[in-house]
Amino acid sequence: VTRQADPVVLQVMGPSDAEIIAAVLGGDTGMYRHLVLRYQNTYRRYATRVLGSGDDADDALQLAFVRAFRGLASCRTPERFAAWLYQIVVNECRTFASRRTRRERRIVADEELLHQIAVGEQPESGSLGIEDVQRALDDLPLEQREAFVLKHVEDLSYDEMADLTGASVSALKMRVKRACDRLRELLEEVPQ
Amino acid sequence: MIEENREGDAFIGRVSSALRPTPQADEAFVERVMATVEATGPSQSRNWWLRPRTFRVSPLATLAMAAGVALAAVGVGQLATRSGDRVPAATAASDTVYLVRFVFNDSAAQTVALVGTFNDWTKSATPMTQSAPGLWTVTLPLHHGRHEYAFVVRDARGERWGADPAAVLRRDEFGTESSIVSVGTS
Repeated sequence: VTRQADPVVLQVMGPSDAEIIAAVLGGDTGMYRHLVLRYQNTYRRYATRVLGSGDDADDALQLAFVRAFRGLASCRTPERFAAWLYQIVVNECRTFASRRTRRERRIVADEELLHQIAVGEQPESGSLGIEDVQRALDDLPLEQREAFVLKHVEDLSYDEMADLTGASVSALKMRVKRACDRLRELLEEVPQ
Repeated sequence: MIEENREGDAFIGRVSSALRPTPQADEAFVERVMATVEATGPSQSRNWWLRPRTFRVSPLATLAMAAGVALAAVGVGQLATRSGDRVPAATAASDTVYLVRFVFNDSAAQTVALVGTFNDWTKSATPMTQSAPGLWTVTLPLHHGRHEYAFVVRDARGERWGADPAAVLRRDEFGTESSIVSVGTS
């Protein structure tokens, strides 16, 4: 299985986050565009996997950016804007997911899946298709889904997850374990 | 004790691999965010006290307050009558009411008014007073329950309506945001 490398920002061009935030708080609202451009895709995978829909992820991220703008003055360490925004995204996804009834959940239809269908790509031998995996992920309770994605998709440590979610490390380990067990049950029945 | 070694097995690796491809935003995403942001107005310094503050008032105190408003109406004539109009709950209440202090911080604002379900969203009904530079306040007697509200701010750029980001937000079917204050329900 070839693991696709995550995009890594090697160098941030232009003004720093803290400089942009100072300008926005000084009244230059247009400068906020730089932050949106810089982070518009950073947490998109998390939102898409937790919400199970590219459209819902887009809505949640849009709300998160607007909420971050409105509360920008309360970002006490502007140089850590990315981490602060991550918390807002996690909270917005929770709110979004809890508002949505199970009946309304949709199976992921993001660009990767559409691309696979369009060009007739099949998952590599021995790998799992995103549609089956996302469907199984959608079947998990929100807390388990959130913990699994943070741990095994976003590669966060349990300490980082605890900072982000407000849950204890032991609670997060339990959620991840239960998520893994349930995914096994759901996916090991899927023909390879 | 959680068995972490089970989490790291090959099966979970395959699940993770399937979920790792990163979706990209469409080209209009930034424009959608900025359109909302620019409609919201400048980001402002907001503190904990921007949340509506609630003080419970006994029925006896309500009667005393109502009497005070009535006396003011007699003494100041037309102006006091308008003042009475601003606080209808105070004069009409027969059960417990709660004094809710609304605070809004905007140094560029020329006038700020509070609108909500308690004044039928009437802009002229509840003007806020600038009690310090940029600090706009008003205190209203509200009954137990859930009240929606928003601020109407007029500054050099014109007039805009905005919800209080420090409070619970409500968005109607048209995407218009207002804020929620729950009185006497905690």
